[in-house]
Amino acid sequence: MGVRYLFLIARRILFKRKTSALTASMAVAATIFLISFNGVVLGGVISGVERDLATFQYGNLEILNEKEGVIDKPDYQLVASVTRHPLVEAAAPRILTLAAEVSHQTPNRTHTVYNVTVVGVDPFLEPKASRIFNSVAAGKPQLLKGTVLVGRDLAEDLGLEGAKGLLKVKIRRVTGEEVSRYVTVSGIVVSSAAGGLNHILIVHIDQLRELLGWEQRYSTSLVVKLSQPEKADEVAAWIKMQYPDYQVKTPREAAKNWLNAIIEGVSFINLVGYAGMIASALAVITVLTMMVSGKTRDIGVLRALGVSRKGVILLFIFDGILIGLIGAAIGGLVSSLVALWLENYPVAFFGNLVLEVRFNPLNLLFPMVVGFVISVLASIYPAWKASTYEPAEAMRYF
Amino acid sequence: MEKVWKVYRGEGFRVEALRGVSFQVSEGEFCVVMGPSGSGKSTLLNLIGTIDTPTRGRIIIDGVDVTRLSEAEKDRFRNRRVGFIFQFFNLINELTVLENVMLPALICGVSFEEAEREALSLLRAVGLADKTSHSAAKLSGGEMQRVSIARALINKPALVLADEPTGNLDSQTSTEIIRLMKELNQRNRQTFILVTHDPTVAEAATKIVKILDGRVVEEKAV
Repeated sequence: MGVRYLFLIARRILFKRKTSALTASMAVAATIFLISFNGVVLGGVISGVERDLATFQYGNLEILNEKEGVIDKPDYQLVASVTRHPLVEAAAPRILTLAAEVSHQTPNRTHTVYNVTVVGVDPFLEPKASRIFNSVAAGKPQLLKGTVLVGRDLAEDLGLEGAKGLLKVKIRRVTGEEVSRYVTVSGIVVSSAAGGLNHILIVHIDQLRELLGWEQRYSTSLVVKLSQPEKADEVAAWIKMQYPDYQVKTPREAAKNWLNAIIEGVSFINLVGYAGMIASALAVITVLTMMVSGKTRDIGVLRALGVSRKGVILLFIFDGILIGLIGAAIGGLVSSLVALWLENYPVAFFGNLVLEVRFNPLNLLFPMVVGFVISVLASIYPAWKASTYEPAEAMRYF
Repeated sequence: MEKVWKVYRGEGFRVEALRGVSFQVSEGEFCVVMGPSGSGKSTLLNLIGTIDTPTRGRIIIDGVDVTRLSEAEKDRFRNRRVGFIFQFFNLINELTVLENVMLPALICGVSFEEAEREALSLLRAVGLADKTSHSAAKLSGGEMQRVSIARALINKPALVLADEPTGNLDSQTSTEIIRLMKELNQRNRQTFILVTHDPTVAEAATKIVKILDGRVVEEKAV
């Protein structure tokens, strides 16, 4: 027995009730959109965070000596050695430390901030390895001995008005001795939270060595910029062979906790999408159950004309299939358009984090298939209910 | 039918709709079952058409005891051997006139093209050749019943069952419908069993069965 006629009846019944059909399809479409939108936005956030971490904080690779805390080799030697690899575009030494306090005197009061992260950078090498100097929002993108770049939020805490002022920086050396220096603000830097520049002080690396009392040209890390960041693991392995005592980390490894927190957030937000799936399944069940109730007499007639119980089940499952197909098509289309829009017109989230969206149609496949399958599964109960009607009973129903 | 009983049971009630009904209809007869409302006429027709099951007794159609058929066999039997005409026409409103008539043939597994050809021929026979693409819901009562008749005949069933076929029509249309059914009965030698309480319908009968309180009280050839 062919089923083409069942599909014909299913289509006619469904399209005769356009509002109900559209409601159920839109519920499926909304779920598909919700899940894919979560994926696109949060995938964009993760990529954006990784990009900013690489751009401002860790480079494509970061070399550290976690055991000793200090890379006990002259920075020029290490830079020269690392840049021999053909995939290494640039490398720059950094010193990361804490200032016991940083203060700024205004006419009315002294603003003091304690335990400020201070990063010492090489003003000649750093611009080749990171975009720290491109993030100067006010003042001059340059660093001399005796000048500093101040993170936007720190500048606010210190009561700075624009990129000018004199700061007193107090550093406690490992010997316990406290050393203070006055430095002039030359610029204000701004980055996304992942960029990590908003709360820090950037100083000339030589000045920081002097403050710390380091006589050698040591550093605490080396940031490495690669021409092909996707080959970071290959370069990391090469560096590890040269310097087995040092650690070489990708931004993902370096900021594991950061990214894990975001990924956990993504998983949690995805739960909302899955809850939406339950809602769309309920919408399909409701619409089809109402349709079955409204078609009781016709179900009786079809049974009287010889349609089997299986045929009746198939009839309403076809409706579930149609709702699923329409919902998946609408959901897929809207999701694609939004993802393409976000890819071409990046938007900023969480302040300055610009989403890094890469539209991949294959990513839509999963939510579309899930939405479709849910619609079909949701049609099983109403279809089964319809099949239980006895023809003589059902035909008395008006 | 042999000593057919139909008893409806529920919480606190028991209704004997049919009480040992026995009668016989020969091939090609135009049998009219008459009786007042609630006498068990429609129950009788539902049992013959296998859309309901008797509590006791046997119903033999064309040598087949339909009470012993499985559900799937009953579905096939209804589709191929029985044509139904209902008082309220029971057309599928979402389908066109042509599609409604094609439906039993499609259920039977006949190809779309063949079903369409046969349906068009029947619609010409009932005088609705010009309304094939109309929505079934937009026809007059008489037209709907003609469609219903065409639908009942498409699989060339041995038996056509009509439950109050004129119950919802005016007298002139009723006469036309009965004349049409009679013509088809004579032309195709198909057995018709009509249930009615309209005495004018009985004028077309070759056999009349009168039923009262679930029992056959009179059975006569005309």
